[in-house]
Amino acid sequence: MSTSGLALPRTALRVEARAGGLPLGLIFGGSGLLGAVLVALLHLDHLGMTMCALKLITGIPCPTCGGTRAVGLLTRLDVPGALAMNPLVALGALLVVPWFLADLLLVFRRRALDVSVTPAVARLLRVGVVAALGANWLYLVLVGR
Amino acid sequence: MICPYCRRPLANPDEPFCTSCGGDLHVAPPIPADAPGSSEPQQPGGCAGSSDQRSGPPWEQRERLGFGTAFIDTTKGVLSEPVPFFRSMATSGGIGAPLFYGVLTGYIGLLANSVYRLIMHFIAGGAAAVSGDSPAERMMAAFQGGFGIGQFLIQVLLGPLFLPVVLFIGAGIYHLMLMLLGGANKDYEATLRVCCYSQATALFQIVPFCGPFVAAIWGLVANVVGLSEAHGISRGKAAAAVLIPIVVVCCCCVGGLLLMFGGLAGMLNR
Repeated sequence: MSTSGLALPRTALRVEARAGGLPLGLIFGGSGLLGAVLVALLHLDHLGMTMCALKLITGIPCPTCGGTRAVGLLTRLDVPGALAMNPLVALGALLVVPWFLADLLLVFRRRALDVSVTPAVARLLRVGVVAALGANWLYLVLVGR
Repeated sequence: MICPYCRRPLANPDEPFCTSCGGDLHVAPPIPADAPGSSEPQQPGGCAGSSDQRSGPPWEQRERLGFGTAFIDTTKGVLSEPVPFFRSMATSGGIGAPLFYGVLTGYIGLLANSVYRLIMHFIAGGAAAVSGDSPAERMMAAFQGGFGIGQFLIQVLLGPLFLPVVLFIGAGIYHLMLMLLGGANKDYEATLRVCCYSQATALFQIVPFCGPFVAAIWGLVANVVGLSEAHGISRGKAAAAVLIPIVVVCCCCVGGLLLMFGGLAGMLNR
């Protein structure tokens, strides 16, 4: 099997440049970049009204409230501001950047970054993601996004 | 070298998947052509680790079937017999063809919807029936009176650019949910393929008024059936992967739909 790149111990996490794999970093990074450009150009982070039905009806923000404003702040390179606005969206956007750049470099070699973990690590990650979503939502409710 | 699943010769053993059956060559590496048992009869459309008869949908055989026939057969399959369609859909083999189908059908639906909204705009005179200072009233007013020729042109011109993005992001959300629920038995590509072919339901938007709502609901059903069949999981788990993001994360989208309902009702009341 033709793979290359960083290979961490197989028992925990494996990061490899997989031949013929889908360049997901490029796809999601490109989509995010397009979204960020639109937010910056159309000032979608300054609409003056909420687009969230949950917040409109109950006053409680949804887990993605503040996401557009966080992206808007990132386009102005205000990372602390973006993290304060919606930590999970800001962190997600920042994580996609190296993934996007890696895939951008690999795509010319017809490879894509591929991350695989063991079932035990996958279970841990699942719990971690759910906990992070919950903690992020709690934060948004407490700060009143 | 030959594929360990379908026993067809591999054009390029470096590929991660068999180009004939989509079998994952990471899980079971290719075997030499002269190995014992390698001359067994071929299993057409064999699949990774299972006895499924997975072949490409008619759309992926359009060179043989012809464009029109492949399009009609694929659409008919998704809309009238989603279970056998998604059960036989190949879960790998490239995203170009499914993406083309998804964008094509999605764009036809978008175009029809945009034309109807423009007609409604002219009938209503572009004026909003709801006015007021509260955010809800401003949003309702924007939805009712805010669709003019400019928005129509933007939607029509930028549609082909944004539809793939919507499909990629939508499939990404579903796949993340499947991973969280422990149901992502296949790669992201399988999820993306389901999302693309489920776009056949967008054609319901050709029917005025009720079309978009039928399309939305039928689309959800097609996604649930497709994810269930493609990943080999229960309907309940697939439904959870599809509905949880709508209920919990994307309530902004639900809000948009509710406001569209409200806007339509407001227009009809005038």
